[in-house]
Amino acid sequence: MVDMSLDIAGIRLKNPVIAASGTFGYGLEFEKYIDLNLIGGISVKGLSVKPRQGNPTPRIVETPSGMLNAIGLQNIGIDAFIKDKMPLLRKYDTAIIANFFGDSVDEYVEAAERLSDVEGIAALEMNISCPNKQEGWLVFGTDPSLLKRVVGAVRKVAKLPLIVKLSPNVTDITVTARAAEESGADVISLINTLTGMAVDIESRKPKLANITGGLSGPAIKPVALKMVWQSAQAVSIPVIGLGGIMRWEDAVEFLLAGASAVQVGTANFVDPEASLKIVEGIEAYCRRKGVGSIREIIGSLKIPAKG
Amino acid sequence: MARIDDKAGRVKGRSTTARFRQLSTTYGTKLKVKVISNEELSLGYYRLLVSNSALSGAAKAGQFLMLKVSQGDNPLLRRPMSISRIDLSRGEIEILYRVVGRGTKKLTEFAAGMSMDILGPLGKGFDIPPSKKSILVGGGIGIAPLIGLAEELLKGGGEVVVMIGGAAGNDVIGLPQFESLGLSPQISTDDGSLGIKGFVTSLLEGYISSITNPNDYLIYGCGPNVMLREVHRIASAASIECQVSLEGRMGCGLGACLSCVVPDKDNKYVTVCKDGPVFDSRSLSW
Ligand SMILES: Cc1cc2nc3c(=O)[nH]c(=O)nc-3n(C[C@H](O)[C@H](O)[C@H](O)COP(=O)(O)OP(=O)(O)OC[C@H]3O[C@@H](n4cnc5c(N)ncnc54)[C@H](O)[C@@H]3O)c2cc1C
Ligand SMILES: Cc1cc2nc3c(=O)[nH]c(=O)nc-3n(C[C@H](O)[C@H](O)[C@H](O)COP(=O)(O)O)c2cc1C
Ligand code: FES
Repeated sequence: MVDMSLDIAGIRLKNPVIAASGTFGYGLEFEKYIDLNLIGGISVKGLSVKPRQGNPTPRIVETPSGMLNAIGLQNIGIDAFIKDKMPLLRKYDTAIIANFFGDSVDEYVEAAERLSDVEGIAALEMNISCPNKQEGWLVFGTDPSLLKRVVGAVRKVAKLPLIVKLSPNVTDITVTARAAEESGADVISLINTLTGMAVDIESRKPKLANITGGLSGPAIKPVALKMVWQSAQAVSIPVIGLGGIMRWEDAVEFLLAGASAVQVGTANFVDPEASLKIVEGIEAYCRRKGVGSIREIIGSLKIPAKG
Repeated sequence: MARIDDKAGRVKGRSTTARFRQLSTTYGTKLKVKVISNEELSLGYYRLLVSNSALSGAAKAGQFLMLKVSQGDNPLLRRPMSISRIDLSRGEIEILYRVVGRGTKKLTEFAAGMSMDILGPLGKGFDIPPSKKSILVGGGIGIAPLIGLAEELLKGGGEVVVMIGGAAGNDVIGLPQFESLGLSPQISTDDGSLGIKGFVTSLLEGYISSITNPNDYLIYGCGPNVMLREVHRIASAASIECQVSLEGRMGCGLGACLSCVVPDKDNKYVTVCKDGPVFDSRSLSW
């Protein structure tokens, strides 16, 4: 028997595999495909205080070994989430993580306040890859001082473990990772999508209505892995790793590189059973390696001595 | 956005929109299907026959499947394909497809005996109210789901008229299938190489101009968006009920990614994969 359970800054997970925000709906969309009780957690589609319509279509385009999306954070809003989704989600024995965002510091704070009081939510995950529409349109997660301001403000009101989800669209991920830790994050998760673009050469138009979008899927895995490895060394809080995890082998790479848990995103589209298969694969790997607990794997990367 | 309550069951005697909202769906599963055949019908158009009795037993006309066309990560996403025909006795499903890019090219490589990974049946199919005369209007590969629909309608003893449009003769799909059902489709091509020269919507306009009781009819349309917009316009002008089957860029096919959305009449986004692909045309914003 391998002990797959973890306690990450007070977030209890029965195993280290969490479905990533925006790729698993509100969880319920997948209940016909997998037993949701068997995965570690579900990070729900990014929530905002008010419902959001999102971007015009086309919203996605496939790229080599990946996809670009510009959904535009369409969501039902926190009220409808609490009223319509939470009663159904509460029935499952898995960690429900409320991913949320805002257009301003005030909106982030209001969202965190509202979600903190909801029974059955295990943690808050703050998506900071959004622009500050109230002041200057700078993306919260790419500017360390803005990041500190918004995370610090949310920290004051958040009554649940706070995960800050970092944007990879920065020069040095360790700078924003440290900024998140210093301003009160309990956990950091990374990476969100890498910004990208695709053009239709016949019509000479961008393939996405939004012109640019976020790249996800296997194409981004090496970039994500390196950023997770760097961040895990730069901070002393737990790190959740994601980006391009399709199979259990990918997940193990992230765990070895220092991630305490992983999230599975785009893979859910390709195979709705992906997250469950990854749980099983990690467990079999631990058994084969003769380790009694998943915790022995985390951060156990062996770097050969230079020379 | 209001979600549709699948568990609410069917409610009779409501408007079509209400009927759509109340329609219960058999929602999909992940399955392995066996490829029976995969042959080219005419240049670039293929007919794929797969078998799995659980799938054929659950499928309804107008629903679709998400096909995994590659073993690895390239192409990554599944490809949505309509169920063209359901053969309950043999446990088979027929798909008609057109090769347009990487994924559909890959699909041509499946040979008899191979296994394919699919999700389905997905989405809401056609709503078939009793005792209506049906007019089926298809453009290009959009004819695919209308074949199974015609079969279903004929089984119920209904009267069926079919109109097929294509760019050229080669793009007129499904003729033998409709003929085997005892139907003689009206045909139009943009270049006049088969049937009348012009759009399939001209055939529709011609046909309904002589209709005196619009309440007796129902128009079903599937094809390019520009065609469907015109079908909707013609149907509403003549006060004939109309159902359209839409396409949309799909990431998941399960209502989770919100990439396949279209605006409804209140300009709220609904998903093609879960709320559709078949919609009452009046419930949408054109
Ligand atoms: C509900 C539904 C039913 C469909 N039924 C059929 C059918 O019965 N027969 C058939 O030939 N085609 C059908 N299509 C269209 C079919 O899915 C696309 O032609 C196919 O995905 C193209 O893939 P590709 O890799 O060859 O093309 P590419 O252009 O290389 O595809 C790139 C990406 O765009 C998407 N895409 C491209 N064209 C379309 C399109 N028209 N609609 C949706 N997504 C698209 C692909 O899925 C892929 O993710 C249907 C689409 C939907 C949404
Ligand atoms: C369609 C889509 C929608 C997404 N929506 C959100 C979101 O609402 N909030 C968020 O924090 N991340 C969102 N993401 C980012 C993913 O959670 C994840 O960080 C990213 O896709 C990288 O992981 P992957 O390669 O495993 O998909 C979305 C990704 C995709 C593909
Ligand atoms: S394809 Fe994902 S929501 Fe429709």
